[in-house]
Amino acid sequence: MIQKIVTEKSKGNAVIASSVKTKIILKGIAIDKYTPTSPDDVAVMQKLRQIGMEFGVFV
Amino acid sequence: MAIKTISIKGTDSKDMAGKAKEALKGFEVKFLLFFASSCYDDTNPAAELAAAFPDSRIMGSTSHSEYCNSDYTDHSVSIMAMDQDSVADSCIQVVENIDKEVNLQDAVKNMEAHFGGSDEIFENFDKYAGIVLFESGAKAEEVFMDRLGTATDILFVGGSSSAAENNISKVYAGDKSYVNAAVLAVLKTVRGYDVVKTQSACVMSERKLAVTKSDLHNRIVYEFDGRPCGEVYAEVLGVPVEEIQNYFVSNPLGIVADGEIFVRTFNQIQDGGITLHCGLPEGAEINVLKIGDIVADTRQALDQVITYEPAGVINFNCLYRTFEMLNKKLTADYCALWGKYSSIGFSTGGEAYLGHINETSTVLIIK
Repeated sequence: MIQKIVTEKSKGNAVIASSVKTKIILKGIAIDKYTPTSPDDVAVMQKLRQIGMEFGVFV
Repeated sequence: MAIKTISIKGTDSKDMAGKAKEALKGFEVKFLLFFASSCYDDTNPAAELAAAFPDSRIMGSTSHSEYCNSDYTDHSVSIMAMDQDSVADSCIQVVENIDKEVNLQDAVKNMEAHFGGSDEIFENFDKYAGIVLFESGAKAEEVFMDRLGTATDILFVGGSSSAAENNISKVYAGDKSYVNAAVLAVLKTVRGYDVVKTQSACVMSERKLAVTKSDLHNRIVYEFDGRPCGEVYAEVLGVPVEEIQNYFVSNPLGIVADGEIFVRTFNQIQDGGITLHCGLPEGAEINVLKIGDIVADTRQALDQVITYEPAGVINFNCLYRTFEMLNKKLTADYCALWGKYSSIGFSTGGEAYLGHINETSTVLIIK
């Protein structure tokens, strides 16, 4: 979910990708501790859906 | 020359603006950024500068103290004047009542439309730089920067107003002054820009603390890792919990994101929590930091990025850092770092870059 938001929002621009990651972290998602194999955390996933919607990315 | 920087002292704003006009005679100012000691506010420096430079877009802030090139001053006005050789176009928007929930979509759309739309900005991302000035009394910077970062990809750099002895805090746009407001400017630079962020602190402990209970809007943190935050903070430092206040200045907190530290400084113990100068959202992970060497860290940060001759450099430098340098008699060493550039700055009540931060210097470099 995190990667989809970053990729779609930044459209391949590395500077924007970095700033989107930082914006997500400052919103309270500690993205470094999640990997594709991390167990689902319903509260975090809901928060990410909301963040994605705000960025115009549906996840 | 595409950017000029001047430091002016006047008997009042009219006198100051007259001296600025004389100093910039023959220079076609298109965008004017100023940081004015709040002692000028009773004679509205923005109105006087707007009258003196009728063809220029103008934004500014009150300040506790000002920087200009290699000088640190107070009771002065630092001005950066840009002509069309450095900034091809600019757009300023004022957002009022920022202490309420703000919707920035309209302001952002207006600014993007001014330059031909969001696609034009995205495709020329390296040319469009944002400046944001907050009236600090509103204490709304965290939420505002979050909403701004959601609404646009443009990178905004800036800071919050500060005040001299009269405690007047305002921001300015055009010929008007504002409280409880933010002033946004987007500059279409001719040769692009860079951003530097350097802070007075580095990571002391690699141990990550999860913010599990906090009040973001009121800037209070209650719990780390599900336990009272003071207790956990004391544990990381290895000191008795009764003594943690003694470490608030030397050991602030930081969110580390993509290798960058976003500092949050402590205020005081209150209502079972600790108040900060910048709120923390629940879910964030923080590190305990230790204070570093302001002059050496700033030199390294500037030298790493500014490998060319910039047209102008704008320094939003935390008031705490100014005080620390005054106490340690480091001001001359610090100012010497800026003397090789056309630069202005002021002592800010908070800094902005991607979010709201403390004890930091955010720097916009116009190429």
